[in-house]
Amino acid sequence: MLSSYFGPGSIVTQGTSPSFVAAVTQSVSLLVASGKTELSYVDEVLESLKTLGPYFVIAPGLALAHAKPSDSVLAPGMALLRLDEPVISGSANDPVSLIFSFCSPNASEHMEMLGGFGQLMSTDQVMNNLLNASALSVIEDILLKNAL
Amino acid sequence: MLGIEAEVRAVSIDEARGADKMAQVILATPEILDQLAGIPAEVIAINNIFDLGELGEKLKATLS
Repeated sequence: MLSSYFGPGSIVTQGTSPSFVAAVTQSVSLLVASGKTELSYVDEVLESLKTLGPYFVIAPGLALAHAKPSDSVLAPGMALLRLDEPVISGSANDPVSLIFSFCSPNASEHMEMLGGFGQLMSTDQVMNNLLNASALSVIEDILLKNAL
Repeated sequence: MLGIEAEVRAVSIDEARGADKMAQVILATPEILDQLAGIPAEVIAINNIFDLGELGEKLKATLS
């Protein structure tokens, strides 16, 4: 279940971020803080971003920061940094307000997580509700309690 | 939606390029299309991965 991937304190709302790289760093750091990855995973994600560009800005306003399954991943996990003021990543899907990050220990778990995430985000109004939520509790209800 | 049975896998660029059994279709964001150039698969750029309309339209065009 998607909600099980979010560890304690892994959903954060914030006014601004200095840059897309800073926002991605912060989001992936939530995975570290919640025990899902080693600190080295942050470097792996940033290296992917540097090498490939903003390829993980996969929908208007939404990034799903991640790197390949590696030894840096301790458990499957997800995190979210929602910004009130979006940042520019260089993607055609700019600007970005929802900076999700995720990690998986292997390919099959990777697929399962993406499937659940895709199913939720494809549901009518979920993206809109996450972007416009006025309180952290509203976002948590959507992601953790399936309160769409 | 399309009434088609398919095996779907999420892979890295290296895995996509080096696969023993090549996919028929690869969906990717525009930023990495050049990394997939030259492989024997139909590579489709997807702008919004959650837009079932875009996915359906592009897959239908490729598979028809």
